[in-house]
Amino acid sequence: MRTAWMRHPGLMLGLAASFAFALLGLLSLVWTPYPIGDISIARRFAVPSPDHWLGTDQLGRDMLSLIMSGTLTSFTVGATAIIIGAGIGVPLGLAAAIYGGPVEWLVLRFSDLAFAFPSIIIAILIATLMGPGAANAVIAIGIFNIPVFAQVARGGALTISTLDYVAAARLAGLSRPAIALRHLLPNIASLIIVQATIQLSVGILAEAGFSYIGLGTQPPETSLGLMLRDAQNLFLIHPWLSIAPGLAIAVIVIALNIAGDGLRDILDPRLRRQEVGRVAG
Amino acid sequence: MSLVEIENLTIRFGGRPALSGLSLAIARGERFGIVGESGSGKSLTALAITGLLPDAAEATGVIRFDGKLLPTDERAMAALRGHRIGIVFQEPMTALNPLMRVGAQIDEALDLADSSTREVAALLQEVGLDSSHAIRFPHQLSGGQRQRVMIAMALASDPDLIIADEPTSALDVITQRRVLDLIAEICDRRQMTLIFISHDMRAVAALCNRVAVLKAGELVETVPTEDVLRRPKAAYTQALVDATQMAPRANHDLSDQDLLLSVEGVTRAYSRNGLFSRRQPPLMAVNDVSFDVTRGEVLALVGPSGCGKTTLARVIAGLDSATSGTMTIDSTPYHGADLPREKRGDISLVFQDPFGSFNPRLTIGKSLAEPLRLLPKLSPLDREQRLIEAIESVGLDASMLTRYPHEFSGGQRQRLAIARALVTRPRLVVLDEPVSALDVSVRGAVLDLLARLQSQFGLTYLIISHDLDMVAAMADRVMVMEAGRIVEAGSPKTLFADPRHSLTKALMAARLPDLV
Amino acid sequence: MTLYILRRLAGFLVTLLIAAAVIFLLLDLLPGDPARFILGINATPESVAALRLQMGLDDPAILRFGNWLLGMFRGDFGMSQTQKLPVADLIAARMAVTLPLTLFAMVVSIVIGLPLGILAAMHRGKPLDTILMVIAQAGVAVPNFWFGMLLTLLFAVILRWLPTGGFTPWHENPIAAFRGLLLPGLALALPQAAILARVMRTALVDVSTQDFIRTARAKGMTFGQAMWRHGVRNAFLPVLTILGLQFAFLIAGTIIVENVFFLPGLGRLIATAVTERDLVLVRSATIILVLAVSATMLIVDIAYGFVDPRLRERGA
Repeated sequence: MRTAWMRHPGLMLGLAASFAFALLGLLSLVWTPYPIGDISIARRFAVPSPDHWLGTDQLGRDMLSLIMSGTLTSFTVGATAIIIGAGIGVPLGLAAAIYGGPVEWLVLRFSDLAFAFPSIIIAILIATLMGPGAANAVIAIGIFNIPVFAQVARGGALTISTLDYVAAARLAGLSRPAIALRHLLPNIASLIIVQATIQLSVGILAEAGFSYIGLGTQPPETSLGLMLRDAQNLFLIHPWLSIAPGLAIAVIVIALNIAGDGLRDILDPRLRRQEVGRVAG
Repeated sequence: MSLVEIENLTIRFGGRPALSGLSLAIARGERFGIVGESGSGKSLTALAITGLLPDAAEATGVIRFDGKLLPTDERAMAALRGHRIGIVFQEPMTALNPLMRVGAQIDEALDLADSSTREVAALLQEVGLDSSHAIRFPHQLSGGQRQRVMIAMALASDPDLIIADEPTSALDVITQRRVLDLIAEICDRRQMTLIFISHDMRAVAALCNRVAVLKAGELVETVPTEDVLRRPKAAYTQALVDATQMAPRANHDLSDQDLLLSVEGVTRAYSRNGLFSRRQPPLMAVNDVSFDVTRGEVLALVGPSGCGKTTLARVIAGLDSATSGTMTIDSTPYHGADLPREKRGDISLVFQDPFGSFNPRLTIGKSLAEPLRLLPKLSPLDREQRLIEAIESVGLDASMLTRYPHEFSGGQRQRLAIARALVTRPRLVVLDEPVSALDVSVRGAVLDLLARLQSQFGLTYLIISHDLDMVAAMADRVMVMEAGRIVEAGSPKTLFADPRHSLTKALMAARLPDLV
Repeated sequence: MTLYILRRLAGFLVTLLIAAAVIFLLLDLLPGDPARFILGINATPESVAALRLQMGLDDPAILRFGNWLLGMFRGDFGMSQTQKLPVADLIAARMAVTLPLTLFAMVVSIVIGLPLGILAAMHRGKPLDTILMVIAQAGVAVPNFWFGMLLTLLFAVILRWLPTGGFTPWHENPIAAFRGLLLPGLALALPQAAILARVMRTALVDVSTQDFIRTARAKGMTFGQAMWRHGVRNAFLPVLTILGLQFAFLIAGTIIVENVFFLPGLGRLIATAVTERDLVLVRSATIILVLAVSATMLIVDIAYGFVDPRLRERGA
């Protein structure tokens, strides 16, 4: 197992880059090259230079500082939405798998319903009620994540629960929730981790989109999507204003996707093994 | 001249050899068997001859078909398969395209063989299927029917060679025999060369004139079938032959024993009605079954797949519940899953598949200790003692308790599953196909173990199986089940000597001839 | 098959009804008094009372819900409070932009994504596969609205081939209208094409290890022939699921991308409605979007039944 990690350079690269961005975002809490709110019309639209590695925006704010802070917003929103999605979705999926019957029917109908509401529609509804904000994006993406995790958990748990060790546990008098915790959850953990990586990148993209149309993060907070919204009317003259934050989003998402693909290869090697197992008879 | 010649064939996966230095020559018209246990490389040999080895395999050596080297060009190799070699694979459930009618799939094989004379209907008739089956999809056919479709496809090109790789091991006994007979009959009629690959010495003996024995990727010996059976040279071949014979192990005097379990009118029905589907009568998996089990007895339940024997076992063990009827153990009545907690330790179940019966993320010790939750009064020291006792009683070492399931072989895992079934010191052990997932050479040892444990601990067994020979060797009494009902019962000797019911007769007729 | 379709249809209607109830609950009941909510805290009691009367807010909730549903069946979506126009007319006008844009993007993503996915799977492990999958990896990660900005920079500012934004109505100049949708369509389609290519490739690679592919090769096909005749159709099943979900993604994307190109589509209408708290407009626009997404999923489900004989028989 440990050597498998080493043998997968893509995974190492993806994980390293993802963590680097997350750390950069965390760093913005205590230090940025310039204060986020440091407005100076005199130095606006500066090109990248030793003073301002990524230049300055239309208000003269340091782009690197903004991107660091925006990265933190991206990861916070994406991760919180995963905690909501997995925290509710995984128990729902497990409950559907172990109880079956009406419970399963309810969970499946709930999934159908939730899939009918793309996250942007949820964001629209919440923004209408409570006004736009980062919390809005978190809730919208979180709700969107719930059926995704429920389906992954249910599918995985259904496969595992046909195995004899689950029947053995029932014979040993374990309750259904105990079986779910002791036998099902540990064996579907890898599926959930892989899905979480994917949902993190999906969430970061969605947050950027919401902030871009004004449903998500609001000033004075920063977000990569909000930077693109600010650049909206200027990017034809000052393309750099849109290129830097957009590139940051793309690179973060690529890093997460590569990490997710690699994790799937390592944590779920069933495909490969089956192929060998079938012909080795 | 030989039709197939293999010289020094070695197949490696990632540098590790799966088949080493195999040399064989198979004459035209011969029926050649390749026998071996899992991991012996027998299927790889078939794939190598047909050029279907997976990409990850590195093969060295020489294979000649009809005197010529196998073509290296993919198209030429595909054409050779299409015109001259027919192949029947093991998995009848997955080997056909689920989205395509079987007639169309056979027709495709005819096209690829450039065959103008033969028709789909004629081929279906030759394999014993009505031509109306052509318009069906694979999921509408039974396993046996699908395997016949596979054979029809293999015959489409009127091949010189037909390769059958475990063609019957996924089928039930009666179907298995019919398919084997069909293959034999077709080979006779068409004068085809056959390569038959199996783990079952008796199936090979019934079908082939010569047999190669493979073990762990190496050829043990190649000999005419009669010689393998009468005078096996290699010890391993002898072991495989021995494994097909089962010495009787049961002989219990039960006259003064009292009743342990009584089953009265148990029925398990599955409703097939959905919200919008038309009303259908419920499926009676178990239909009004009654019998008694005496203390110390070995009772066997046999029947074809789908007859309800596993459902009945699960109801008795308390995994599933009867729709109606009751069971009584030790004067405690129950209906299945409502078996009281304090009684659960008295009944345990050993599963068929040793690979699915342990949680890969728990140590063996933790898995084995799980049923001890049923005995909350046990002190920690006693629990530890129970585990050691259980694992040692199945011939394994107490130090293995800290290991994980993947470190054990199939036979060892089945021993561990038996150990888990014994930790609560049960009175009734239900064994669901206890050896059918194991390699033939370890089956005997596991059955010996079961017989020893039974006399040592005074256990009562209910064995679920489709294997008449195993049942004849192990059981004091046999019940034959068909479509949810018990149709015949008696001691194995009398029952098998003089079967009354048509199913019992069919099961007996399907038995492959004894080797000696 | 009829049974299968009926079941799907019933599920679709139930989902829709519950979705409508959820939207109604959120927008009509949760704000307390919608009229005050719309008018803000500074409104006079008289104007609030007048709006309550106009919106029929004095009726019981269940009756209002029923009236809303019935109205929609007749094509009456109510009046927009802020624009003083029938919501149905407002939405219909914007759909003339949003619907063609979505469909165009869907077609482009399929036409590009599926063949590239098949190409990559056929060359699995070879350089072409690696190159295609690196491109796809990047395509999946690029936000579509940012990609739209880059396309504008290239094609409108540097090359000057296409307009930077805005929309000429179809009846005035169809060619100009189409030119206006070209860049937004590509911005929407290319990231989706990348997703489709990845899914198609994975599905084909999975199918390639199936036993029936080996059977087809045993019959005398090369690997490529077996994949074409047996693999692609089987691999299409998982792709179909993604195609259904993709429509929802595209709708979300359209709402966002319209902003880049200043397109007068549904997205811009909704954005305005949100800031101006036009509850009636938001309510109707969201239910229409939910209807579109659910209908796509229904179509995909029914398509599944046609492709897979096992499904239509089980009726499940």
